[in-house]
Amino acid sequence: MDPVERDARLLDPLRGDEPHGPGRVDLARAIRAGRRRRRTRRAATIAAAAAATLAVFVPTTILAHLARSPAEPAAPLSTPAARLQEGGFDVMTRAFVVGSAGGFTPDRYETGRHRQVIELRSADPARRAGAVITMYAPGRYPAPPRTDPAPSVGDRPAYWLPGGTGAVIAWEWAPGAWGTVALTGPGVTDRAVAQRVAQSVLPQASRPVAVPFTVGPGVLGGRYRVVGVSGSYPGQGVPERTSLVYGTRDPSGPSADADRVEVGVLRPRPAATPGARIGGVPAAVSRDEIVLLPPGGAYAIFARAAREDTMRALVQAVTVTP
Amino acid sequence: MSPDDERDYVAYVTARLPSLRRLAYNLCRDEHRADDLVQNTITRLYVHWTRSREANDLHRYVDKMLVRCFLNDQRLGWWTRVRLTARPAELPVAGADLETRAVVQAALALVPPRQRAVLVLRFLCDLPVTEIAELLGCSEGNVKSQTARGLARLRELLGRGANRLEEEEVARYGSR
Repeated sequence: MDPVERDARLLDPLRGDEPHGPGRVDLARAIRAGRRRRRTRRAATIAAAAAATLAVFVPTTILAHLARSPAEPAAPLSTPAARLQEGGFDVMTRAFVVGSAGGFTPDRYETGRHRQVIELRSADPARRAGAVITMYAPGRYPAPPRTDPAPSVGDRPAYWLPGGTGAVIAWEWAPGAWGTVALTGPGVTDRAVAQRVAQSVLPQASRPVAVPFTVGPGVLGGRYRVVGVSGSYPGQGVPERTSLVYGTRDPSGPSADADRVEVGVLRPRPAATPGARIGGVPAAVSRDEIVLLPPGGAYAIFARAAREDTMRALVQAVTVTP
Repeated sequence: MSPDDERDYVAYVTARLPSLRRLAYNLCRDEHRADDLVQNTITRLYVHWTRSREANDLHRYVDKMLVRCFLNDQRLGWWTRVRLTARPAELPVAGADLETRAVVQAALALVPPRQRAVLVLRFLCDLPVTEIAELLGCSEGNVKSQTARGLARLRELLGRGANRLEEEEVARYGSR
């Protein structure tokens, strides 16, 4: 006999040994306790999921805030970034505020979904120099080559860009979003000036653009839509100029698209000589611009487009709001 | 749990209750603790009923739950035990050789829990080594070694009582 089998016989006296009586096992009690335990487990699972969610999102939010804080010290800085989550800038708001810097002062601001352009003129009227600031929405401008680092702009990384007639600087104004400053005109190659101009650009809270006129519907057809609002910075000898920019797609760079159409008003009216009448109203007509000069008005209506009939239709469709 | 599931659960547990109590009693050698063990097991079974009923062998699955409950209970410290203020009532025990049974029962209660579980499953529940290994979540070799150690310990504890059993065995099967 196998030793194990032989030893197993030691337990033979216990074979058939049964618990006596009905016992105290209570099925109803097991069901009640089981239900209670299931409810507790479900609540614990929900609580754990909530805790896990908080554990992930709260530190992420705090870290993101801490990481952003040094580079974007002012409260308005987060606002454009928040708007950008929706796919770009708001066409009807200016996302940045620009100050005078490096001998330049802001001249014109044009909004856009993918980019916003600010043109600057020299503070010295005798000097034919200017600068163009182009602020891109995230993903709308490729990260520049990091071969020529520039001094940081608002504690954000910056690089000098090759090419161009003047100094060009690019900086990452928000994560994944770049802006550029290009100096134009003769003798503007001073990199420090470009860097100072870049320093003067600050993201701001949503600031809607006021458009003091309306354009009648159906003038341009369904393909065209408002892709930007252009406005001047009025100053001494500089008229107030506000216009709506139409296009079939959102501009992606500082230069104008081929199908760009612009209509707006000027105050005070320019000293143009009317050579034609449109709808009985005196107008100055050139190849790429029509300026309508309503009699007795303190303003002029202008339109720019590739086709003259389009410009004629547009200037007649404008109603200036008081 | 849906009403249909709950009905199935009640039907299953009602049918399995005697065998579960027997297994628990063999493991614990104490009716009260055995009942507590079964109560815990069927409560856990209720909580996991939806998953449990999909097991290939539900009987084995529930047996496994019970053995696990028993082993877990053994791992807990003395502070988890209920100390009774009075002795449970003595119950009459059926069977002829009461003295031998009492000696073996007392010795088995002193065998370490895992070895005791292996001995009970193998020699009182007559489960093959393969199933015991599956039930305890260990290898067959481990079951065999636990068996050998458990039996050695049992023999040591029985002492003279074991020698008497051996003499009876020789008388029944002849010389070894």
